[in-house]
Amino acid sequence: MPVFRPKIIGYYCQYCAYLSDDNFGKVKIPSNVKKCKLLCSGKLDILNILETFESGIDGIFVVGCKEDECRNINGNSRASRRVNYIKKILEQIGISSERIAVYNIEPESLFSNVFLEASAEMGKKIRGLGPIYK
Amino acid sequence: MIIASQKSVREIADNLTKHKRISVAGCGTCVAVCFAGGERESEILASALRMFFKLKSRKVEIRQQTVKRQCEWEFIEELKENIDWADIVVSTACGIGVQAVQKKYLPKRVLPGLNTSFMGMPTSPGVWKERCLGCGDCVLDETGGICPIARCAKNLLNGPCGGSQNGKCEISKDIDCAWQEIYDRLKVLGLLDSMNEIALPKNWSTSRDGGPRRIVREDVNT
Ligand code: SF4
Ligand code: SF4
Repeated sequence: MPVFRPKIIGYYCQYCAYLSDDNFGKVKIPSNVKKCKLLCSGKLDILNILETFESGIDGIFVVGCKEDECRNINGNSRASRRVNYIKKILEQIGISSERIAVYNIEPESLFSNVFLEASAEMGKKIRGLGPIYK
Repeated sequence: MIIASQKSVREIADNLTKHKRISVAGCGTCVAVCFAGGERESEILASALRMFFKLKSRKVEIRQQTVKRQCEWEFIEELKENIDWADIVVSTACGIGVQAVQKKYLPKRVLPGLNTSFMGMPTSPGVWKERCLGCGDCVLDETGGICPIARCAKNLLNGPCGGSQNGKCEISKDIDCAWQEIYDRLKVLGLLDSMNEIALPKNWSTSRDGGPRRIVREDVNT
């Protein structure tokens, strides 16, 4: 049986990426993780995320700024609350809510490292869950 | 406006056991403004249902369409093509819209996608509160524009009751006492004297106690 390589999308806020020293500079993001830039994590759209899962993406994560440090005041907390709403819908239809997660950058952490850690952690979690549609 | 909340997708899906073509009908008026059943919310429901059936390996087609409103015949006319196509319809309108669509498109079945709750308004983003119970004999002129029927837990016409504490209702510390609000409002309006007037028993025959209600306007009637 071929090894399952989950299809993952990592959304990220352009501000935490640009404010960081190296953006994606030196780190190598696994090829099964597609990077997707948002103007702000608050741009995360519920319908868009659900349709993304519908299309067969196995896992999604969002990297946003530290709490209380959103350039647009509360875009990151909006993103978290939207993710909670999505989790609720996923559970209702029998999909694990673990398939979506939010990661926040700490002031002392490099954006690229957080994105990389999120990719690894989500990759592991989704491999455990298996493909979204069997 | 009419305020509603979404039913769980699971509850809706459990009623769609053998159907192959489902039409999700959104409503673009009250329930769109309270983010329960407008275009986006009915698209979200359609997407969630598609995933639900995909997980069960069931081949189900879903169409989504939103009309301006579902509580008037001429607007729901536009749903005809998608409803004729479908085996069953899920309407994300309020209970009025669901009943209208069901009647118009008999014998097709129409299921509710929402729980219709009350007449109210948003008081802050994401919070909706009840404001009117439709009693049919409005007393807002006597209460400074704050409804004691919808906003006082006991519908008191002569309040507050003994349970009013620090501006909160005795049923919950999260609920403002309507009669405290009325008192404060009458003060602002310079009408505090009217607190001394005893309101006589209300004629409830104009409310639900008189059975289902209707309004007839001869000048509009055909
Ligand atoms: S008094 Fe009756 S009609 Fe007036 S706002 Fe209250 S419930 Fe509605
Ligand atoms: S505490 Fe105020 S709102 Fe609550 S029942 Fe009494 S009068 Fe009505």
